[in-house]
Amino acid sequence: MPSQFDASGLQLREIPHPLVPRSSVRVFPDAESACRHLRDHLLTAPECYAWALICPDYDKLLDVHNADARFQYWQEAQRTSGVSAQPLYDLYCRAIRINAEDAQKLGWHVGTTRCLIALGTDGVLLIISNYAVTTAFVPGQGTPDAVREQRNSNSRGLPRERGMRSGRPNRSADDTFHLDRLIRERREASWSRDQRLYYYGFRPAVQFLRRFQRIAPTTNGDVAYLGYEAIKRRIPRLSQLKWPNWQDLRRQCGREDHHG
Amino acid sequence: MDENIFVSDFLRATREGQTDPQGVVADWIDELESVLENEELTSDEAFTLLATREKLRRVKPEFINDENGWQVLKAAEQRIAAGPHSLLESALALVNPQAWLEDLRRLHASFEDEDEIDPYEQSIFAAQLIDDLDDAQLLLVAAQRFGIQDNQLEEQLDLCESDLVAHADLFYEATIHVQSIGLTLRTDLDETDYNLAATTLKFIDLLEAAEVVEAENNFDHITPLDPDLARALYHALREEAGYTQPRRTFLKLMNKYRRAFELLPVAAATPHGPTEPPQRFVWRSPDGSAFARMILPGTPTSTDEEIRIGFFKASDQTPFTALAGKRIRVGDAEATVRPEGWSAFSLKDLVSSKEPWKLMVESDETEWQLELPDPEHDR
Repeated sequence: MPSQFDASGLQLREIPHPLVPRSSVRVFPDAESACRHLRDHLLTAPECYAWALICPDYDKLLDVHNADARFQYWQEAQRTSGVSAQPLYDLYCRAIRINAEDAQKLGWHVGTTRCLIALGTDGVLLIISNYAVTTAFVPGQGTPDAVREQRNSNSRGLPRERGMRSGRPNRSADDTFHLDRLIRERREASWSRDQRLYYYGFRPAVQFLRRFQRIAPTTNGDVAYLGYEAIKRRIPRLSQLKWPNWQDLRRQCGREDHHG
Repeated sequence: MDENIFVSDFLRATREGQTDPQGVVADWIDELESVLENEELTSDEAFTLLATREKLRRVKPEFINDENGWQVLKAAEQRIAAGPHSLLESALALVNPQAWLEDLRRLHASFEDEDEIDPYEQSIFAAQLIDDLDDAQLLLVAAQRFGIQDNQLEEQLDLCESDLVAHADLFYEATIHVQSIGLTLRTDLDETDYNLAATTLKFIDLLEAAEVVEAENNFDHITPLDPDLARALYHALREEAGYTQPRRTFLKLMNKYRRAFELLPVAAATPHGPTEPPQRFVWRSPDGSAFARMILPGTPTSTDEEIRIGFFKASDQTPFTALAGKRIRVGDAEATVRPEGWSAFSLKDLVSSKEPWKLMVESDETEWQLELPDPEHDR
């Protein structure tokens, strides 16, 4: 995949600043980085599944479960200099705006007007730096390494399941995965879309952010920068963010239906 | 030893309170509670339930300081007790040490990648790898608790741990995570639960490696020593302080014997597998003029197996008989040195001993220093 491409056809949007609603911030400093984020987060498994829950109109643009369709969407975006990706970018902007509003209402943000980390009730973590959104993603949806590798390898399929819990060769892993799928299907059969969003988007994001501590001190003795998980000082423990608690928070944020 | 080997005040994050052991334990409890909300558990959830329960056994009780925490633990115990074998079966089917080793290679490659990789991503990846290995080892402990012995998996996980230890400096990116976990660990585990104690050893190595990295970083304005020399000096100093690799090896071996003893009746009725080579340990006298050598069997055949310790002169390796008639202690086990310069213990006494790596000569209460023999010498 080329490291640079022409994204000049994408029209960048602005959203109100979560701390200073009268002023606005651009959703990504330039069109190229906006397109890269669409590719790496909204079109890359497994994070794309969470985005399909966050953005109800995602399904109208493409079938998230079809890896080829996602890949073709990206190819088309490249071919059209970002023009064809405008609808997906607009959905992304809307989700970022709503999550920024959640963060403002719940106080789930840390930093200053110039540099801010914020988390919304969809589980979208966003960073504003120099008055532009520089990233917005759903943490806890697979390792950064896995996402990067898929990006680098130009893979069209889902990233290979791997890691210590990926199934022991020559053991009954296939049976186990089959049984797991049945358990998940039974569990999800009665779930609303909001419940799926809670269990597959929001909760993994909080688990992820709470699990890891700041990076190592740097060689000159300073901490390099504030890690994303600095936000965990602002959000309650997971035990206080169960499904009923989350529903209460959504009501506080005026999100009775799942997309406010 | 009163010193807490899981806490290093040499490390900046610990010294300056950047760690969050209370938060780490709270998150483990929350994770356990999340799993327990489900009536049916997937294999991944069974894995988390079993591993996290063991993880919390390692934790100092003062960190589980609210009523909810104890209730969650009780609920986890009940859930496991209701069907341990089915939980273990599905969880064990997930463990893939080979995939973990591939991940480790990817972490290693990420430091050499031409593209600059966000250090934050590296720290997450490093922490994830540590947690993944730790969880798998804890799952194995849970299996052993219910009488399931999976030697093949144990060997594979030992290999993973060896690789982690060999590349411990790569994990500096996750040092605050490691230091936080270290602060939560009980220090009396090797007296109460050998299997669980063995899962904590890697944290000692990770902390030691972090000390090396920080020491190197803090003196980067001085012309650095040759890295090999610096490491050798560092390890020599650590050994003086009692943080020895031989001790670690010794403890692992004792732990292995304990499990082997539990399985001896079963092993006697089944065909013998391949035997492992014996392991030699050497203690050096305080003045360096003599050494003691003990050869431990790779695969014990009886709890009453006699283990001899021979004493030799350092100069020409002939028997050192100056200790004849004196009492010596290895851990809690006692014996008298024979006129020929050796003494004998039963393997059972050594294994059940507290601090079995300590060789003391009682007449003057001097401790001989345990070291690993150089395989090219001392045969």
